[in-house]
Amino acid sequence: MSEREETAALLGTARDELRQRLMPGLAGEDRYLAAMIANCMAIAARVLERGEETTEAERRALAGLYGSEIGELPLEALRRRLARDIRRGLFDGEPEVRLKQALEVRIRARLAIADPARLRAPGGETSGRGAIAP
Amino acid sequence: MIEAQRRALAAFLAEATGAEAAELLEVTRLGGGAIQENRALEVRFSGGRLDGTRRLVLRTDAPSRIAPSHGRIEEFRILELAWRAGVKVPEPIARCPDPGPIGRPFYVMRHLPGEARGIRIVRDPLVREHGDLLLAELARQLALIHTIRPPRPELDFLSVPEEAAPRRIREYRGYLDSIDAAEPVLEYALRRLERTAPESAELVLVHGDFRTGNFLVEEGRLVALLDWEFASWSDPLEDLGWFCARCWRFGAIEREAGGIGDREVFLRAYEEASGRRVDRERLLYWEAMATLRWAVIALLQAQRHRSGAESSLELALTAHLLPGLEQDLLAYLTRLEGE
Repeated sequence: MSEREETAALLGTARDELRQRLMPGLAGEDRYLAAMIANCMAIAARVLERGEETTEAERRALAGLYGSEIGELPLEALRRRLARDIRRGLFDGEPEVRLKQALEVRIRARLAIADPARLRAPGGETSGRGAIAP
Repeated sequence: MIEAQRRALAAFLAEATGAEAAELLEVTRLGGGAIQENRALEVRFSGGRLDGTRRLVLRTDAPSRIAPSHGRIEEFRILELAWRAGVKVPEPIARCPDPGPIGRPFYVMRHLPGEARGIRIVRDPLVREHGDLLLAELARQLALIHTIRPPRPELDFLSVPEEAAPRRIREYRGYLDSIDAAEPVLEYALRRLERTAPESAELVLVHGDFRTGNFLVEEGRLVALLDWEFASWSDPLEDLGWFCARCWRFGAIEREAGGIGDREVFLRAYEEASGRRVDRERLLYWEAMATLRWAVIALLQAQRHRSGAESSLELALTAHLLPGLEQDLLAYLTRLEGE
């Protein structure tokens, strides 16, 4: 096991203890807070397990909208560039199809970290506070 | 609340209601929004228009509030107007722009019974069985709010836009820029909604946060509409879109009117009460706008946490709602293309 995997497993064990041993004894606001903490731990574990992979998937998708020069930029810079270009209308009309495909990759990559249940059942159960304290 | 504040607050309440004296029997914190703080007060008045022991709600701004919401004093003026128009709202009692008594501006209204939490309402067996009744009541209240038209001198702090949708797009871009956010999905939605913006047939008072979670329900029936801090002059469809948008159904996705019941039941009740015909395609546009708006507000809330202005786990986790909202948003835009 890599250090990342081990740390993710550690978080998972701690989260199980929280959910199975502590949460049943809590009610109301305290229970809600504990559910939020458990959710934070799950997010952190997923970042350790899949963060690099999802970041790279998103970066590749956004870079694919540009030529090689801009395509080499790191994700944050690419995202800024793309946001600005969309606002300026550079993706209006025909390029919109490719743009939407790339944005869908971005959304799926981020859902894999924030709320993977929605990837399994698009249009499924989570809504409202779903991603805060399932 | 410290003793000196309690005494100052009691004195303020006595004077505001014409009582000889008022005594604060109890102060408890109520679960509030992320934007304001609510406290329940039990007050014994001697004389004046509230003579006797009364339960009231005191509402103040949270330590930091987000840009699009009004402050408490403006909200009180909107609440007063709604109360006078006969809308079901808690009776406004008094406002205090002077931060003196408790250190912040506040207002006080009548405390009403009922459940406001969205998740409880959509799971309430009475609501599940008789949701159509609740939807009809909500639709009638909304139609009543939408009879209020500009200009109204008492709401002079609300600007009258030329067009409802382009104004929102300008606002939302401004909020994104204010926190230096680079969000390609939201920018794409803004661009699409800008290029396809419908003209608004009329401008009316919109509640601005009309959704499950912002009204009180008791025994399956509507008690009162709360949270008027986002009211503005806008297209009436903006309220309908916010209410029906997928992001405000609290898990009851298939009940498209606020997680309570059938969308057509709600829309027909609104049409009957208001005399307006609701253009279903335009409503879809405003549902997309609603989803975009919640996404922008979620970003602003997360930023409040990140900036250190207000450290809160709930605000921090709000950022993780973004990808799901973005997924909804793209689905709405695709449906709009097909219409």
